[in-house]
Amino acid sequence: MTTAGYVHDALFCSDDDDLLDAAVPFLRAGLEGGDSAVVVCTAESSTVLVKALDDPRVQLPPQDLVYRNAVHALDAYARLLRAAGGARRVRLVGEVPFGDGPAGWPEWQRFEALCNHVLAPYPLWSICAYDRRRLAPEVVEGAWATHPHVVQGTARRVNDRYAAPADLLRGSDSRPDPVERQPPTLDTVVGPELLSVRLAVLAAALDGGRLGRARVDDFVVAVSEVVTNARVHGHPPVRLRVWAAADRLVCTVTDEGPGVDDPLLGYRPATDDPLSASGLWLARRLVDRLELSPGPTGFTVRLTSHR
Amino acid sequence: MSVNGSGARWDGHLLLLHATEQERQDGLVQWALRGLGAGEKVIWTESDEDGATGLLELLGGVGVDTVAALANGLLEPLSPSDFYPADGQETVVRRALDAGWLRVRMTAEAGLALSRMPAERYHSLEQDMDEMCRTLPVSAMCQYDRLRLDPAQVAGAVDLHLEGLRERQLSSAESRGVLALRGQVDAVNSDVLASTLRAACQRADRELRLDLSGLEFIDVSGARALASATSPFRAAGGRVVLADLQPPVARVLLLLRVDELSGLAVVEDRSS
Repeated sequence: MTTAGYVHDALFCSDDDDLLDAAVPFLRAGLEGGDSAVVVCTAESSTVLVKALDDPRVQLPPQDLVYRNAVHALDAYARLLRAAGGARRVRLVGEVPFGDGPAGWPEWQRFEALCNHVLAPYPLWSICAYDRRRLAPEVVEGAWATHPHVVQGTARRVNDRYAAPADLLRGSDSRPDPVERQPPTLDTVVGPELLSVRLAVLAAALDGGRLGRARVDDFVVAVSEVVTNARVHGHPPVRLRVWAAADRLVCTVTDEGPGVDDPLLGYRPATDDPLSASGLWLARRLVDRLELSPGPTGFTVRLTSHR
Repeated sequence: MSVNGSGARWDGHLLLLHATEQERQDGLVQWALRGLGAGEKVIWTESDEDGATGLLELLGGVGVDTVAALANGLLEPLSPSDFYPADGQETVVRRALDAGWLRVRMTAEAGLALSRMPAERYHSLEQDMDEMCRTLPVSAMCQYDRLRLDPAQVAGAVDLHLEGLRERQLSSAESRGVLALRGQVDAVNSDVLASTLRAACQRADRELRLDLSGLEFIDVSGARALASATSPFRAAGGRVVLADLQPPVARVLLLLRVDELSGLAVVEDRSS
C-alpha cells in the first residue's frame, strides 16, 4: 500500500461492533504512523467511535457541514487534505448522509462514484461506513458499485463489483423539475454579452423566490458560468429560463448543439494549481445540483438551488 | 453604459473602449453632456465616412441646442488637420484657454488618428495629452473600437489610460493613490482586466495595491486573468494586494483559492 493515492473502502455494519472492529484499528494505526485521523459520521456513530478511540488527535468536522452536495463534499475533503500539513496521509471514517428519502440518494451515489475520480491523486484513505440498520437496502447495495475494496474488521478484499465512475454517472439522467410545468419567471435568449443576463436572473430570483441574497448571488454566478460555456461551446440560440419558486430556483440553459457527453465534466476541482478549476466546477460548487442533458433537440444544463 | 456616480467620472484622460457603435455613442454623449453642463468647451473631430453618427446629431437627439452651442463656441468641431496640428495639440488647447474658456475637453476616435499618422506619433500625442490633462484644465477622451484593434493595440491603449478606462462593464480610476477598478469582469472583458493589470504591474515598484470596493462581479475567466496578468510581477517578488472585496467577488476568488497564490494578499482596508 503506497501513500500516494486515494484508497476508498466500504464497510457494512449491522451493529456498533462492526464499525468499531474496523474503524478503531484503522485510525489508531494511522495516528501511530503519522497520519491524521478524521471522523465524519452521524452523531451516534461518532459518539461510539470517539469513546473507543479516546484520542484527542481525532478530528470531528460536523457531518452536515462536510456533506452538503457532491462537489461541496469533495471540496471539503480537499481542504482537509491541504490542512493536514505534515501528515503523510489523511485517514477518514465517514458516513455519507443518504437521508430519509430517495430524492437525495442519486446525488450521494454520484458523490461516492466521483470520489474515485476526483480524489485519485490525493493521499486520502477513507472507509465509508454503511449502517444496515439505518439505510435503505438499495443504498447499501449501491455501495458495491462505488468502492474498489470492502473491509471487515482488519481484513480487506478487492471488490469485483466495482464500476467505473464515468459509467455510473452516465446512467443518471436529468429530468425536468416539476416547477417547469409552470410558466417561467424569466424566459430569454442570450445575447452577445453576459451582464444583462445576470441582471435579469438576479431580478427574477429576488422577485419570485425566497432564497437568501447570498444563495441568489451564488446562483447568478453559476448561471453566468454556464451561459459563458454555452456561448463558447454551444450552438446559438442559447435559451435561458428561470423558475423562481418559493422554496427553490431552477434554471435551464439550452443550446442547439450536441453538448458534451462527459458525465465527469466540472467535477475535477483544483489540483495544486488553484486556477485549474473550470467555470463548470465553480457552478457545481455554488448550486445544489447541476445536471447535463445532451438530447436530440439540444443540450440543456439544469441548475437547481433549494432554500 | 450607465452613468456611474458623479459627473467627475467623465473628467480626466479617458479611454472609451467600445465594442459596439451604441456603446461609443452612449459614452460619447455622456462625456459631452458632462462638459457642456460644466460650461466647458467641447472640441472634437470625427470622420464623415463610415456611417457613424456625428456628435452634433447625437447631442441634438438628447435635446441640446447645438445651434446655440456652436454659435457661442461651447461646441467646436474641427477637421482632423486642425485637431492634430503639425506642432502638437497644445496649440488647440491654448487657443481655447486664451479665448477665456476655463476648461476644455477634447475627443476623437483613435482609428481616425491612426489612419493619418504613424502609430509612434499617435503614441507620442497621447503622452502629451496625458501631461496636459495633469497640468492644464483639460480633459480628453480617446475612443477606441475593440473590434478593430488587435489585442496588442488594446493593451497599448489601456496602458496609455491606466486610470481612465471606460469600458462597458469596467472602469478604472485613481483613488487615494491606488488604482481602483469598478464594475464587473466576466468572459466578455477579462482580457481588458488582464491588460490593465499587466500595465499596472509594470509601473508598480514592489507592491501593486488595487481598490476593488467598486468591483461587483468576477468569474473564473476574470480570476484567471488576475492570476496570469500578475504572475510575472509576483514571480519577481512583487506583491499584489486586493483591497476591500465585495462579498460576491470574495466568494469566487476564495473558492478558486486565488488568495493562496504566492505574492497575492486579500485585505480589508475600509477607512470608515
